[in-house]
Amino acid sequence: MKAILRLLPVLLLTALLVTGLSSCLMKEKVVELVLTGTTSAEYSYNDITEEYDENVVLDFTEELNQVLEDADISRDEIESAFLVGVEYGAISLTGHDWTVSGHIQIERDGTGFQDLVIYTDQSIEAALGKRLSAPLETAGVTVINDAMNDFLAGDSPVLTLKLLGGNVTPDPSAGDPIVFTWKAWLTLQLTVEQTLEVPDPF
Amino acid sequence: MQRAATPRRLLAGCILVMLAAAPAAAQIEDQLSAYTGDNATGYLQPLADALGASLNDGAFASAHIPRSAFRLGLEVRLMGVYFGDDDRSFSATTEGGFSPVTEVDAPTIAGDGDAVVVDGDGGTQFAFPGGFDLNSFALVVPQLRVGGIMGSEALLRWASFEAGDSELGKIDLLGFGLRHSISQYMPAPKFDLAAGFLWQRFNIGENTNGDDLISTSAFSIGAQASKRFGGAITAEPFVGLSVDTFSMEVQYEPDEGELIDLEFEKSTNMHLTLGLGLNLKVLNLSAAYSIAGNNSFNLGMSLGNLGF
Repeated sequence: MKAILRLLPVLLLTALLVTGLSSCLMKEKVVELVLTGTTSAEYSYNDITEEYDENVVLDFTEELNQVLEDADISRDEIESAFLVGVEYGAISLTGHDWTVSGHIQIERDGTGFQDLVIYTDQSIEAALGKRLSAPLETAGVTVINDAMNDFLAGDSPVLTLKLLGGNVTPDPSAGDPIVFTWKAWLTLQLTVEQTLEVPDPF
Repeated sequence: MQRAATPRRLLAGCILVMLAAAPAAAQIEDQLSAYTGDNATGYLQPLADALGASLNDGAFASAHIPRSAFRLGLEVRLMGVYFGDDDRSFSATTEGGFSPVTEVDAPTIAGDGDAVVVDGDGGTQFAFPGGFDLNSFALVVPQLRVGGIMGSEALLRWASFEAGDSELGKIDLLGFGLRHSISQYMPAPKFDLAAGFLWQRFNIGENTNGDDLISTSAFSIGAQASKRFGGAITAEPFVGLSVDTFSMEVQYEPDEGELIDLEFEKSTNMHLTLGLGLNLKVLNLSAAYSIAGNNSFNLGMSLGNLGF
């Protein structure tokens, strides 16, 4: 018992030191977080002509809400939001290769489609399993960036992505239909500045 | 926005541990969501280097292991690394279909807190996430040392902590080491000499799949020498030379259910430690500096009868 009593001040001192040391370890830092999300659309070609025109309504608002929810951040904390890029690629191909051209277009709330990406002479086989990027058209980018800013302001914009097929080589026919699935990905980023307590002891 | 300190987080900060090793694990995963592959590796490399240096440090403050006199010590060790200028940025390349592909110097996890934003085609932008503006990195680990049995000693490092929804995330450390006195076989040793190893596994954070965000393992094998000067209270300079290995894996989900698995290159380094211990009966204090792949320092405090 005497030994324990003798040890008590040392234990108390130790507890004090550890507690003090632990609180000294943490410092406040201002960190600019970047939240990244992707929304996508799939288009199934199964045709005997080169004409293709299909629309997919994007889960744009849901994706942004999910990104914010995952990071436990609210809309009004976001400083900026923008489109990073658009990628496209084939996720399936039946039969031989084809060379295709086309447009990926974007529309907001039925206000008319704008070009986002124009691709030419793209081999489907070369795009299989890939995410290819291309220079973007200003008109389409503006539609998306405006929609993101309006989302931050509280709106829930609806975006529709259109795939508009162009030339196909060789020509598809009843005996040789073109069958593949095309996919487009839109990558979006949101930035937010936060003050975090992080360990930085010295 | 200021995130409030939750009671659990304060508890975490006060009780132990090596909380310092998890700079806001949830925010690390947010920042990594912008990156895949080489960018993610470059962003996290300073953390990998610092973890490796710290984990393989602080295993001893003496080579004195009695042949048959039971010794017990409950210890707290702080192992630290300073980040240099080279640790603050890395050469990063735009991702996510950004056009044109652009290379810039972007902050690492230890770098400046501001994001670096570049402009692209048609009004697009790419933001390279900011770092956590860290000057240093430290692990504070608890360890239990049991020795004096057939000239041998065992070391256990253990801590496991779930920080719930706080920024610290999950922390899980397990380490085990054995040392054996060599000087006990020497006829008239002028100093104490021991050799041994330490194995550790250290996991931090939780990814969206519920798996470990950062998984590491470290192994060190080497020899130590020390000599005690004084009477009831002794000063004990010590030196150690070891070979350390360290490996790290990061698993995170940037988006769309694609799990990114980053395996950092396994590092192997020679490790020289120079230090001084002060044995005050039931309390032992020590400080040491280590020269290795990343130089580090450690401070230790032990309660028990190791100094006898």
